[in-house]
Amino acid sequence: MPSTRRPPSLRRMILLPLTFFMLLFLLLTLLLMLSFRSTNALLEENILRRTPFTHRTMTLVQQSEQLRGLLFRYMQADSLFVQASLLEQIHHLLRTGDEELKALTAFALYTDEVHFLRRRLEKMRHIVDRISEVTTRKYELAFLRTYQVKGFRVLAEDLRELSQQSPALHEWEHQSRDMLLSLLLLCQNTDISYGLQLKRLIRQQSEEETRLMQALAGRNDIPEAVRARLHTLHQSLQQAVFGRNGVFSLFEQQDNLEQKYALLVIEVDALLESVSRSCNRLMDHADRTLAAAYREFDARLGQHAAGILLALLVVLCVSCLLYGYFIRRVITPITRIHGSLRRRQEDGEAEIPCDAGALEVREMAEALSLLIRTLERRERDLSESHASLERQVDQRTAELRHMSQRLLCAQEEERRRLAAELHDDVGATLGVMKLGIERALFTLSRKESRDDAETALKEVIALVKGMARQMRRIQNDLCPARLDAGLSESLEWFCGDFRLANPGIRLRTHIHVREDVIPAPLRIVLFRIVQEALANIARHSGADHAHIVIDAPSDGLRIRISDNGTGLPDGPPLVPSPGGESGGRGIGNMRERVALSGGTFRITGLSGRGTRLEAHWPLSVLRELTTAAPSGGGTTDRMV
Amino acid sequence: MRGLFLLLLCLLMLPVVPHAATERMEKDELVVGMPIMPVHFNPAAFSGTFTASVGAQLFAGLTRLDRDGNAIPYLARSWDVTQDGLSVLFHLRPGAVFHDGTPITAADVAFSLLQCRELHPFRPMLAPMRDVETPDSLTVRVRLHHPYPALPKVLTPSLVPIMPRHVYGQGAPLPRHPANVAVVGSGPFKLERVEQGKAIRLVRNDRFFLPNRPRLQRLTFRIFDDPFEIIYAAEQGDVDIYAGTMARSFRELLAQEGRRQWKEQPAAYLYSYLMLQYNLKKTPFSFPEVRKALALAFDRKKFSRICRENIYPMYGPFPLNNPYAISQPQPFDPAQANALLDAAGYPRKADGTRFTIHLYCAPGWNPMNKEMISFIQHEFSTLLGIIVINHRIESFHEFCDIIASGNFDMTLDSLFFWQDPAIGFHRLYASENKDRNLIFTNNSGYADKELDSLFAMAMQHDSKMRKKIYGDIQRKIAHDNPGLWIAYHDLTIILSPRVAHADSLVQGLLSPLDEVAVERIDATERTDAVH
Repeated sequence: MPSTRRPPSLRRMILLPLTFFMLLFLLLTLLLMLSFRSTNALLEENILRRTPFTHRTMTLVQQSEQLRGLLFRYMQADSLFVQASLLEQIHHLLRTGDEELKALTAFALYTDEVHFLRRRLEKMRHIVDRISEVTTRKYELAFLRTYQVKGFRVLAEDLRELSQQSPALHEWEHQSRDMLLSLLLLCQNTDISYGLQLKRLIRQQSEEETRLMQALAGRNDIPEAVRARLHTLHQSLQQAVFGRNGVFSLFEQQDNLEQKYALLVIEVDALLESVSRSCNRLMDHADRTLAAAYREFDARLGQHAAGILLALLVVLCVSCLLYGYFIRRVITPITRIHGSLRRRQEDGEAEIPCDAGALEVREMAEALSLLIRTLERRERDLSESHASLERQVDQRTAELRHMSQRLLCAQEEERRRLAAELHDDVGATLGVMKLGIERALFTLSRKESRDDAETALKEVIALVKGMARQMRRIQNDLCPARLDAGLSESLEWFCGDFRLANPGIRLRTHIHVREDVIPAPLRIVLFRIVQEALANIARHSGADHAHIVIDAPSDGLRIRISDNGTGLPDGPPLVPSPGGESGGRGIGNMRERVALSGGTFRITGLSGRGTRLEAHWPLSVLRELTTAAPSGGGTTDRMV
Repeated sequence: MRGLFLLLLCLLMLPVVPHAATERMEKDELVVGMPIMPVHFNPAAFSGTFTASVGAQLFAGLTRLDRDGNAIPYLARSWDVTQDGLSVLFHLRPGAVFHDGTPITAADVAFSLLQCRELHPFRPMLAPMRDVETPDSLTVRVRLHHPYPALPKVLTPSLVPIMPRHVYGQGAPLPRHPANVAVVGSGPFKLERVEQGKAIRLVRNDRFFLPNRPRLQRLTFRIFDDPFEIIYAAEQGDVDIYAGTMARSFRELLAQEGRRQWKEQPAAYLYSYLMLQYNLKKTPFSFPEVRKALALAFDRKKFSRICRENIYPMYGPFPLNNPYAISQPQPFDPAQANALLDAAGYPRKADGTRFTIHLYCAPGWNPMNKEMISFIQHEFSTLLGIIVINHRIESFHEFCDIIASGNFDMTLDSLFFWQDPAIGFHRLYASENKDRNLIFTNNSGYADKELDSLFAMAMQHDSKMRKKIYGDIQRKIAHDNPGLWIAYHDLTIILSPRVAHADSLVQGLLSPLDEVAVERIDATERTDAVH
């Protein structure tokens, strides 16, 4: 491994800048907190304290204006009930104002001005009480004037009634009525100079009325009751003028009250103006203070702004750098890997870069590269395996085709051999037999010697016997007749014939297997192998010993035939090969039979050391053959 | 503020004239001061304090009230109620005659009861009456639809006067019958003459059915244009009795300066109260939200504070001093009231107002009317933006015509609840008493079938059950707000020191004055207050 520096891991790549960023952020936060603390102190001083103060001052200004309006309405109202209602509102407003001022006092700001306002408000309360008294009194006076005026109608009616009782009273009644008229005029809200003139006139009228009344009181021609009534009405008139609440008194009271009221109005105006000015001064103070606070706040904020901006800039730069670094070390390598993968997808040729980026990215790229290589190798192996399998299939197909041709050929050859034998042996014998029979018949027809005929028929009989043997031999060639009785018996019969036919070869047989273990289809195969092998031994081996063993090892069924003959020419063992003729035709037949029945065939032999052949069927083939064809061997034989 | 109270006390300082005027009065003559000339004097055809005051002297009723408010014999010497309560048998006093000398018979009583059932402004009070029978000339059997324990309380002279059938049974219908002015009754006094706009002069009925009654020889109802004129006359000894809203204040005025004190006497079982009646047939009072809003925006406590100490807030249709009243305070909540008006489709316009209401009040026999109206105008204007226009009305007759014809939005009036809810309460809300073209009936046009059935139920039970039923009724009416109940107040009469035996006036001047007498004032007690 080259000694390159280990690249930083993704976690470190993220953690380190993040930590750095957080530290910066904390620093910035600290900076901002310090800044805010400083500005908060200003806010607390100016906003939290002075703003409510300003707010309350504004409320006070509003209340002052409201009070002015209510007082104006109060003084203008011509209804006692409405005045009472307004007075309740005014007192409520004064109480509220007092509470506002108490609250303002608690702020301990502009104490002089606040105390001044409180004194003004207290004075206002007193003035309101006085106004209330004066207006009530004014209303009372108006009420009393109304009472007097309405009473004058009753008095006038009484005057008229009394006057009707005596003509002497007419002058007095007229004078009294004039006096009532003047009194009515004085009861109106008239100006003071006119009122004073009226008063002078009423005094004169009163003196005249008194003079007339006194004159009438002394007259005896007027009934006493009338004179008494006259006196009563005179008293009523005098009372109406000069009584404690007579018209003169009411006029003077009204005049005094008007003067008082005018003074109070001036006082109220001045006081309200003073309150208003004081409130406005408070507002100005508060405004100036707030403006100063704003300027201070602005200046302090300006001082902090540079530091905050610098810190923000640093944070921004660090953020950009971290972002660039992250892009270069993480994003770009991943993008390159992604590009490589896409190129590989398109043209199949691209290396995955494993030498850039964070450790995890590199490891991921390497793992990906390894994975891709492994996949490619597996793909190649698979392709090769596939091709091999195709070849094997082709080979097997060829073998099967060849085997089929061989089977057809063997069948045709067998037919030709059978035809030849029938022609050569059976046909010739039948011809001879025909000639012998014709000769016997001819003899008999010429009445020649019976003996000759008998001789001829005996020859024919011999021929028939010979033909019968030949027919049995052909039959055995085609299908051993004893095989139905069992393989062992058939082999014994065949081996017995072989011994008879080949006395120079000592043949030993060992069958170590039960008959029922061997599937029926294999019995004819085994028989044909023995038949073919012994024929080869008799024809080609020159051996004097042959040995046949059939056994059933644990893995299946096996037949082995060996001899001590000349053996096979030197070379590799005769393994089954498609279409191979190295073993001669007999060997080929054996191999084909074994292969078709699912077994393996092997023949070995060295020159001069005899030949050894072996066929083996595994258990699976045995089970398959047993279940496939449990019935008789004739059909099986034809199949194989 | 007790401005009005103080104001009235200032009247103490008015000039007090000597009482030589008393000598103008005839011996045993009592003068009652009245600020209005009544339409006529028959309480069966017209409701009103002054009509009833005069009518109670000219007519007799089957019963009258004792000091405990129970019905006692008057023209009827006794009565029996059957066990099932469906029949009441009245036994008339023998020998009783009308002013024209005609004997009073059961037929006259039956005629009067049936006329009242049909035409009386308070006719719901006689709705339970099914029929009237006259078994003999001095017996009257009243058959009822259901038991009606309050019936005897109804049959007092100020409510159901006994009218002579031979007079009222012919000529014009009862409401326009000339005998309503030229009365022929059977009360303790008979009409001498009517001086239009000045006086109603009554003289003793020498054939009055109660022995040695009346004590007075003459009874004069002097008509003034203004309560102040009455006080002015009272100062001069020309008036002996005054009944009105400010009677107590006037008594305080008159009972000073070392003179014998004027007496104050409560007029019980009338339960006087102030009310704004709405015309529910017209907008905006056809909207329940508007009515509710006005109820929420009227500060009754403040009104009572401003008015007088003997005026108390009222939140439902029953004065709280009535035994059947339940407490159901109405909050003062102008904010909710404004929200209700907004929801009802009466938002404030650019000038801050919402709508205008036309108020009609009886001309100023009540000195407080102007103040109350000003207060209502001020409160509704400032709190709700509702403009209340007070229409000037010249005479009481004009006022009656306007209200009876339904050409009004709202009216302010002082009403009597009377001695039983069936009398003074049912008449204002029973659907059978609306659209009668008659004042002091159900002029608001309020109608509710469920309420009508509750009224019927309430009349037939004992007081305990009635209280429960009237509780339900009050809740329902208070919910519907057909009017704005402002305040109830004590009703008193004031009597000059020379009036004696006035304790029989349990309902003030609405009681018969047959027991009242006048005494001569000792000259030494008169004080010349001229200073």
